[in-house]
Amino acid sequence: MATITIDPVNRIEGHLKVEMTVNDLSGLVSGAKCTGNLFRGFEMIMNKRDPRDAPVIVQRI
Amino acid sequence: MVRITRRDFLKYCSIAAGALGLSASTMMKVEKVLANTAAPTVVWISGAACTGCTMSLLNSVFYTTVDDVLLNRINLAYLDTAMATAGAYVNGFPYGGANSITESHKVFTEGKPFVLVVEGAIPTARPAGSLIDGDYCRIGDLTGDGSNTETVLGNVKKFAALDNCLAVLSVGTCSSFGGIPGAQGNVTGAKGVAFSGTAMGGAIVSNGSAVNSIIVKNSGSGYSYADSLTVAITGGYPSTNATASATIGMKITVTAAGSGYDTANLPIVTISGGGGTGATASATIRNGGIASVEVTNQGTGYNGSAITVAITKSSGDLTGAATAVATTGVTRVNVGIGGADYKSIPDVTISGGTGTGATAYVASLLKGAVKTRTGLAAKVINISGCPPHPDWIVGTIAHILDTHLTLPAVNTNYQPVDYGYKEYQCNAGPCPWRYNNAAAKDGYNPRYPEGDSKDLGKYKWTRDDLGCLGILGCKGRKTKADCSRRRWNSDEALTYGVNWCVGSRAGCHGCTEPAFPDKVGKFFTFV
Repeated sequence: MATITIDPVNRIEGHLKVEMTVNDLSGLVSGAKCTGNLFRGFEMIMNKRDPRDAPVIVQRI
Repeated sequence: MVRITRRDFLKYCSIAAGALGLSASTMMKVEKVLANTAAPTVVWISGAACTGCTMSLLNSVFYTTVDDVLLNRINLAYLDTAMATAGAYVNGFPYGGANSITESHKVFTEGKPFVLVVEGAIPTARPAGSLIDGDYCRIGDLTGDGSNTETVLGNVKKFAALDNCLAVLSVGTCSSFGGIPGAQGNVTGAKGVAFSGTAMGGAIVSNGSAVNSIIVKNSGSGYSYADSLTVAITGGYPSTNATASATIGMKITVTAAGSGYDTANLPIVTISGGGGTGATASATIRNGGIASVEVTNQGTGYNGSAITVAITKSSGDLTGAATAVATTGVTRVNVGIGGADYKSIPDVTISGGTGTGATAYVASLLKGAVKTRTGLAAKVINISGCPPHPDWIVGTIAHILDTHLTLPAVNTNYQPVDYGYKEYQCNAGPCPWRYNNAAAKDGYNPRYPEGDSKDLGKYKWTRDDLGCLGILGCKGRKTKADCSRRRWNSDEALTYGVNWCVGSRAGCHGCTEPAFPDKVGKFFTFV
């Protein structure tokens, strides 16, 4: 069982990681997972704000 | 025709990072840059970013286009948004070594001079269950098996601390001041590069605070105009002490309002005694009495001895005269230098002179108002904006290249004053709505409110009026940026753009300011 890791993934400014496991015998991908490596917590930042400010802030996601 | 292997091809792409849709002919330019050893190396790291700053940079045409910058002017060693390669080709290439995007690079192995560009805020907090600070954002994989990743905080610290790091360009408000990811309520501890404090290794200036203004609480009495007062600012644990000086003047306090003052019985204020000459004052009438007396000319020579004030009437009527007392004391305390890194509000003591009783206090500290850059912060240029105008970025980069790697002049926020950050939005253009003659003819008063919220009551604006947008929350009068002159989306070299936020009747959100987004206030509320 071989594992292939792509980190960083380009064009997504470096905060994405992709891991795959490949079956040695069949050559088929037996598992794949994708990790977002950046957390900013927009949900917490939006707490207790003027609702009109929401589109101004979350457009910066 | 030189034969290159697929491996070499990817290597070239990775080094020059010019994969913005490279054709065969532009690929040759890449090789030219590779041959040009004089081109400064640029390492572009993305932190807690939305990549909007990169996108803005791609719109550059004013000074030069972005492909010219990337392909001909600089040797862009790393930019994960634009480079062609990913994964192991980044980790392992181009220089092998520790199989890492950071340590594998020439800036480490050969000490080659380079410019570090940081986009996005730097998370500094440690998530629950993690063993390292700033684990909210990781880039790269040190060992290639996913077990040992590096944080943006670690990467920026490592790069910025190198002696061969000539400058750190914080592109965008996030990497300059924390921006949206650093807004109130965030859990990631996201900060700007120069303001990441001890998390950045201690040498970068922390989020210092300076004395903003000093308010006179009690002006005291008996001071002489000739006195030289000492204003001591103590406590607050600063790294640099603030300094201040006191101005002595005359103040008149009404003790009895009197009666019978009107347009036929105008008040006349006469000041005598006190050892001086030339002081004059004018009185304000309210309900027939004297509400206040303002000194209009401080005169000269007053030495603190008793002053006599008489408030007579122009008609000669002697009944119902108001009474007042005049004292000479501290009328103003002026901050000289604001100091740096105040942890708490310091105390103010006024001493010296012939008088007694003058007291003053520090009303507030100005966050981040550090006047001097020390350590790693001396390398930082904050090209703030959400996003910054491409001209501000390219102009700063071009300045650094054209002046053989010297940094442009900066203001107290470390923004390059000559590339966008000299004036407030209202003045830089000037703003088209600041004084709108057409609106004035239609019966509206479109005047700029001069920063006084009390004035706003005079202006009955609605959303349909073509006046100042301040009442709708425009932050332009507190925002240093030249959008109002430069405008956005230029399509020709050396030509200003077609429009800007305020030009389309949307208020400025103050996105270039350190206070963005919290302290500029609610976006649609006057502050």
